[in-house]
Amino acid sequence: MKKADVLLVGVLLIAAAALYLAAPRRPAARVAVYHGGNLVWTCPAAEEGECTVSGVRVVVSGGEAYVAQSPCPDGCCMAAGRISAQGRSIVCLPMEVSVVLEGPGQLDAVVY
Amino acid sequence: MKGNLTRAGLLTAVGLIAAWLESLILPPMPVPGAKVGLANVATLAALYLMGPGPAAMVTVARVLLANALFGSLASCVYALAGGVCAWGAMALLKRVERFSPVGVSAAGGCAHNLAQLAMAAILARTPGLAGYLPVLMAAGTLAGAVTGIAFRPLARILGKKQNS
Repeated sequence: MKKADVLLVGVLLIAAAALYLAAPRRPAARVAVYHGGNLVWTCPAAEEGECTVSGVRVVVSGGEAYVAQSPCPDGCCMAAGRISAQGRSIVCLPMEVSVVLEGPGQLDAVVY
Repeated sequence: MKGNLTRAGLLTAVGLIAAWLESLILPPMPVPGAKVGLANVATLAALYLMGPGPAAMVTVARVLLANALFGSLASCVYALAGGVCAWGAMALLKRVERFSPVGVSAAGGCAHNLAQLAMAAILARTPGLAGYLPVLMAAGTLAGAVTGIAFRPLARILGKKQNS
């Protein structure tokens, strides 16, 4: 191991930490569920709700959202746990489902 | 170079075994696509023992085979993007000749995760993925460094075999 190695690893870790701290964290206004890039379900974050998209069961409860059940092979989306901050998301790549916590001013849809 | 094909095959096998062990032992990660990436040791070893060309072949071969065996077609796209970018970053840093395998591998791990995230942002079309960026960067760097440390004994074994 050389000095340059330590420096490189240090710089990368500090950059990651800086990015993490720089990201704003506000409570989300609503939970949006996308399937293959299309918005399929929304729920105000403050309310209770539940939906199932291509086998992935998304639960909104107590200002948090999480994936309760998924048929995907790796289970990453379930392991992601509960998210509550605006801008956070849980993505299940195999099932092409993503759960995004959106802010109040966000557009419902954008057409190009 | 004589013996390169044999060694490339050997390293591909090493990468496959590493990927298999990882899929057996490790629990699902909280972030899509995050892996310890022990299999990257094959790319690293190929880079040091044979050069960037064979290392690219080993990378593509092991990623395609690993996903055919333990993954899916969907995960293959991400793994391939990650593997190729990791190879690029490592080949570049090795050329600089300032870093030991540990540093080279750390950069490779970081590049691997960034590439996977970029791929996911493109394919899943979710800008919200950017929130994972810092976590994936740190995880990739640390995992890469660990892989770099694991490379040393492997290099010793393979380096010896070359002479006999």
